[in-house]
Amino acid sequence: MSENKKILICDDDEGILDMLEMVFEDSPYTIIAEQNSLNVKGIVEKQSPDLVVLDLWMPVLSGDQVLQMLRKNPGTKEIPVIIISASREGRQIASNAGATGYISKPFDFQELMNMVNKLIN
Amino acid sequence: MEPVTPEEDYQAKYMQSEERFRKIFSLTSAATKIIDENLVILEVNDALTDLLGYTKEEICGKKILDFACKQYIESWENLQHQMWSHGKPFFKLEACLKKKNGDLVWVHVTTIVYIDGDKRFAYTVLDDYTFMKSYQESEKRLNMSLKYSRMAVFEINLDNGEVMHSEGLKEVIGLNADQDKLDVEGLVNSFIAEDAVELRALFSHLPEESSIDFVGQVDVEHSGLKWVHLQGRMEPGENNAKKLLGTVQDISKEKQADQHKDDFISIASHELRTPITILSGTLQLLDRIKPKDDVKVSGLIDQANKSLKKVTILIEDLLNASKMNEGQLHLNKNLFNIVEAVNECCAHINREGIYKIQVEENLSINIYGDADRIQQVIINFVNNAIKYAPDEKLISVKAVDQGDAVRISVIDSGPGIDHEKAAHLFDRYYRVDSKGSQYSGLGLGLYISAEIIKKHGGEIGVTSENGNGSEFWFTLPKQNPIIEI
Repeated sequence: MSENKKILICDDDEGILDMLEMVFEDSPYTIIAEQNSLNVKGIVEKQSPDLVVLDLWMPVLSGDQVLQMLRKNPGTKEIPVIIISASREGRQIASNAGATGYISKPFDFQELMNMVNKLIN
Repeated sequence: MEPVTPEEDYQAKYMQSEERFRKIFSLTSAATKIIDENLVILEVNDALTDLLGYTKEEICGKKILDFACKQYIESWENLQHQMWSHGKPFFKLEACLKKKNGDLVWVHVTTIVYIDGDKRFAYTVLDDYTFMKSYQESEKRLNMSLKYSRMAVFEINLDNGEVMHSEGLKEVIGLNADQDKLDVEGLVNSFIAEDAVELRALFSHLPEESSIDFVGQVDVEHSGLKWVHLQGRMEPGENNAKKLLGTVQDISKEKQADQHKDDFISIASHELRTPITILSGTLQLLDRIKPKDDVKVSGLIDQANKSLKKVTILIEDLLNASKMNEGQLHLNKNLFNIVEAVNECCAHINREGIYKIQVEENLSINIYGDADRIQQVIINFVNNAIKYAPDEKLISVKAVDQGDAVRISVIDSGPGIDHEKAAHLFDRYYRVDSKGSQYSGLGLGLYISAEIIKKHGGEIGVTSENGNGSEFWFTLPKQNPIIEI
């Protein structure tokens, strides 16, 4: 059996992170939860996750900025990225930044799970 | 008859002219007095006693300065001195006198010196301009209160473009007070270019349109843009002149307060979504791990989910309404089949089985617009029908091809809506408060719906009669709408 696929989730809100970890508990994926968006680039380069889930509104470095950084780097530019946001303009911002998927808050986690399954396989 | 000597003749003529003078003196409507060299009042006429409210006896023997307001005494004395001691033939001044009842009376004073026999006298006319003065004062007060309300009034002659206005108008529209006389073109051009175009168009519809109501921005040198509200109404002038009477008001502060409110709502509702996301996720997890046959837990989770859904919709409405006010309602336009969209958003209600939504359609029309937003409007109509006509289990949705547009309507056979209330249905925060607090919600749904349809270049409305149900409808043009965001 191959190693579990890895998903990096970054949201500045601890509650959301906890919840998402619980959501993925029974899933075949390994979750890397990160609260600080400044660390995302480093983690992606070191641990090369199979998928990244980013919140949009985060302090210092927003989700779309992180995404743009990933897209500029040849080593990380192909990685599928899902943006989650509570902002109405989120979808537009996410697609401009090059997101693979977008989910608006509050979301149905089945919806998130379906999108993850689709993008990762 | 005895012959008259020349001396007697002269005497008689003198007496006659003296008499004539007295007659004129006493009858003239201008308040008049005669004084001697010592400034003592010798004679006054009725007009003067009327003016001051004192009797002749009370005035004669006194000096006029006994009646003068303090602040004028010095300059008045000075002028008297110039005349009596330095040979000036007359003087004039404006002054105020105190009446017997304490009121003030404003007069133009003219005093002329004359010689009778070997004595000098002076003749004074006191011309009452209190009315004028109070008119000027009231105009000043008006200008002041206008200024404090950051407002000005104007009258525009549409035939020649002339603008008459209160003092502060130029200030309100951001022009220099010492600039040239203002005409209607100057007024329009004080607005920023795009607003000026709109306002000019409004003016061109006068006088067929009987009023004007416009909010736009003017550019003020050194202090940036400010918001101005211009309102006017056609009033018939003399000789059928076309006149627009109105006001301009600086509403920047109001706009700013509105903006702060919208910013607050926008941030608050955004912040609320994070805990709601967690709540909703937690409930989903709970639902997943609950014992399969535990009806009570299922019921509690359902209940919590229902409330959560309500809160979510409220927040969504708030955010939408504030965005709309900022003009930030973005449409993601695509070609979509309107009938499919209608079916899609009614499907879940039919699935739930309590209400039956019957969709009457026999057409397939593609519309260029934001399908999500249009569905939001339909769902809002349907939810309203369920909310306000809860006993009617059948709600029908109709789609009609009107040639250049498609008309979608949601029809219920509930209690209907008063004509009066129907007119306000699409206003912000309006609620048909028919049975007190039974209906929850912020009253934003129809306001948001109206904004969405307007942005698509369509029309929205309601046809309803008390007791005969309601039909909420909207139209969407088939071509790309002209109104773009």
